Amino acid sequence: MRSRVLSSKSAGAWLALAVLVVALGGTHHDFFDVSNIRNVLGTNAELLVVAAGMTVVVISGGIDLSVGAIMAGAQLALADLHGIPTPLAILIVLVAGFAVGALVNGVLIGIARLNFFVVTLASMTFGYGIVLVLTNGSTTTLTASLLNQLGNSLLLGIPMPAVIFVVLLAVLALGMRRTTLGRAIYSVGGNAEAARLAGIPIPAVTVLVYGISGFCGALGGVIDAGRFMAATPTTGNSGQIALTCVAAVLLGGTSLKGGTGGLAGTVAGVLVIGVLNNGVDLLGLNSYWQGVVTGLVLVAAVAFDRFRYLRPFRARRKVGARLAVGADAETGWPAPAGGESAGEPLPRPG
Amino acid sequence: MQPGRVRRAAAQGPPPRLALRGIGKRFGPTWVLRDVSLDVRPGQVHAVVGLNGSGKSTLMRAVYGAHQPTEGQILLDGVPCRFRGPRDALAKGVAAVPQELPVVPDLSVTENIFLGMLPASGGVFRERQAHEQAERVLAHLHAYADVRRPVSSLDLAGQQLVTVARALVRQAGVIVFDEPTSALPDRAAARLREVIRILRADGEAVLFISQRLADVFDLADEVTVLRDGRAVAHGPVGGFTVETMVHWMVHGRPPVASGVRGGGEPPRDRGVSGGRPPGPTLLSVRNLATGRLRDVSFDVEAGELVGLFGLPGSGATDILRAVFGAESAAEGTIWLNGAELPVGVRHRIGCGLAYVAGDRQAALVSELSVAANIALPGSRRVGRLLWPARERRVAVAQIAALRIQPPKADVPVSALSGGNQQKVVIARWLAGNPAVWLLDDPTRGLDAQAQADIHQIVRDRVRAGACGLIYSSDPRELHEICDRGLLISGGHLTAEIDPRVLGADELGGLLEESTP
Repeated sequence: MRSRVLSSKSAGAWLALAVLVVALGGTHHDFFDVSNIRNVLGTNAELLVVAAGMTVVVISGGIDLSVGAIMAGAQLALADLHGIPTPLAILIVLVAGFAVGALVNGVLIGIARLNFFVVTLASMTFGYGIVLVLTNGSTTTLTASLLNQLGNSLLLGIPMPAVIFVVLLAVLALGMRRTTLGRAIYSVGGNAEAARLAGIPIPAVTVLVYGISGFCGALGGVIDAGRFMAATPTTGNSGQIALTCVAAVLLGGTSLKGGTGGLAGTVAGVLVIGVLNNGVDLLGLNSYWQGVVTGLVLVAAVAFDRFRYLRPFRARRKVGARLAVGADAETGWPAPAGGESAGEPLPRPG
Repeated sequence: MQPGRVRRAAAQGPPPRLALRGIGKRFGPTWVLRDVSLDVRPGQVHAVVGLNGSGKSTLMRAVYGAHQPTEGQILLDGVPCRFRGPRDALAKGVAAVPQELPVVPDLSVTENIFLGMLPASGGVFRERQAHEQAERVLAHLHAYADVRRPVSSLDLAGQQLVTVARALVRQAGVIVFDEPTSALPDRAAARLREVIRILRADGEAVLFISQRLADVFDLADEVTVLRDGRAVAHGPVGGFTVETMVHWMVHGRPPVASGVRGGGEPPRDRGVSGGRPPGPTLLSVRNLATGRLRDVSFDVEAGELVGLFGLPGSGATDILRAVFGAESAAEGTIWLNGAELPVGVRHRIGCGLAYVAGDRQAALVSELSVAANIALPGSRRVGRLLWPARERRVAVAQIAALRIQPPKADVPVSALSGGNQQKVVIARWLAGNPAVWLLDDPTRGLDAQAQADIHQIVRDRVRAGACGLIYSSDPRELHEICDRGLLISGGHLTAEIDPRVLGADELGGLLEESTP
């Protein structure tokens, strides 16, 4: 079991996270403060939510650059829906996020067969543009107490955004591993032609994938609105959040080629970035260093993955040693070293 | 001590161009290749034969640099070499014509032939000269293609000829052919054999693996037989007969007595159900048309296996794909049991159609496990729960029934050899008990044993009341297993033939004549 964890594709991210936590915890005793841990979880929950949706998109072989714009749009909608009950407003916003992802990105990519990068780049630019036009660039203060609870309250001592994320993670992880949709997403990303010949409706799967990402974007926007009690037109750092999410997804061992990886790795990937940024804070460095550090870590992670790819069986050797005992009898594969004909001269016919 | 060293020292002839010494390759805990030594001399064709999974392809990949051997040495003209990759091997004089075709689909035929070494002067690509050279090389292979068009416009045989041409323009001293003839139509295969003879006369060292033993006996000077990753026999081709060679491949030892038949060829069962009374019409195809097909109509009865005879590019494959619903621009109607089939792969699978492609790369998701690949059509209905235990149970049953090796449901499908991967593709459909089997060159590149297994599965299913349509790049295969044949040429169904009456050679001739 331990070996399986070590050989999994997200091993690098979990390892990096462990090293970071030990290093920061060892040098800065306030790192393990309850308030600091709450801070790390709370500030990264929205990134976790959006990155979870991004993971699904990347597994399907795409990228969704528009998540930041969907976050900003969700906040604008929240601000405009102040007349109706807050739970209903939030529900509308989440459904609208799904619909925009599915009907704009999903339809253009899955049915009109346009390139995912171009489509989501365009919808990101368009989305932020519309939000800026409608708000004239100004931030609206929100007052609904439910939003405040979603963003800033604690449940059993855990920040509410983190609780929301855990629920989302459970649903998405089950969906990816235990439903035909999840299997279809993996197979479309792994080999689209094979998926097509197995009867998998690729356009419908693609529409749903970008719908899921849109939903996660809207949920991230709601959480962000709750934390700051404001609708900010530049939420998601004017679109940078999509790239941070992709970085976290890659850190977590999900390949841009699609078909492999998973949500657990992305959690590790986001937390690595989050803990690093927290470390920059704790060390008293200018927060501008956060981008520098994130970039370096991303390159290191991809290089690590590449290195493992070049020696694909290195991490699996422990498992192998255990299996090798009965391997040939059971599988009929060639016998290991010292088989029956070793050392005998080759017989020569004729 | 390496087996055979003494003998090698005593061997006559020029020193070897390529020598392998104790080559071993391990994947994880598994040695797929162990202690293989052989020599290839200039002007010699050395064939490596063995069943699927015997390590042939791994050995070839080690020779042309796609794998690093775990142990042992490769010597070129007596000098130990290490290849960092196929490019490095190429630079050192070892060219490969591999089994899976590494063409860049969107580049032109010329660019693919000269990939990485386009003729240029002062950094400027000399386009016309390159095209002329490419045309010359292809003409040498009796292939006449528009070299300016993307390589994806060629069919499989054409793409293979491009990779052969690529090896030829490199003028490498050692050329490795990995199953070069298995995907080619007879005429192209014969031409390729001719090319290999010319290479031999030029003093090239040719290393060659093939499932077609006829090619081996036709071409090879020396033969090495691999079994379970070891070289079990080795010598001039004259020392073998087909029977002794098959026996070595299957059992790893020579036949006990000369009277005993080695290998055990399955009894030749011509047709699924010779002399059977006509059954009810199961599949009716009317006025089928696609980009390549024109007005194709035919019926297939229950219990009948119909062969599609045609050269690559004739449209035989397109019929299979169009009936399956995988050709987007298909026109015409198809009835199954009197009911018109809906449009689209997804619905047709639900109606009982199954499609097995010879191109396994196109049918399997290599990242997923064997069990998940078997269960893949189940995911065509999006929004249902998966039951891993049930999925595993189905997979384990199919693995046992089809004797898939290794018998494990959880390994990635990419860990299986070609024949076993093909069985996984078939296993995918078996559980649904399809009424129509569409077999698109289903045994391409498989050894005799795997081919016989797959034929048996198809026969059993068709006898049980299904029907089948099969295309094969080897007309002899159709001759062996089909009840009836349809001759396809230039996108038209030109004739109905009885493959059991005609001999295999006559069938081959008929195909040649039917091409305009």
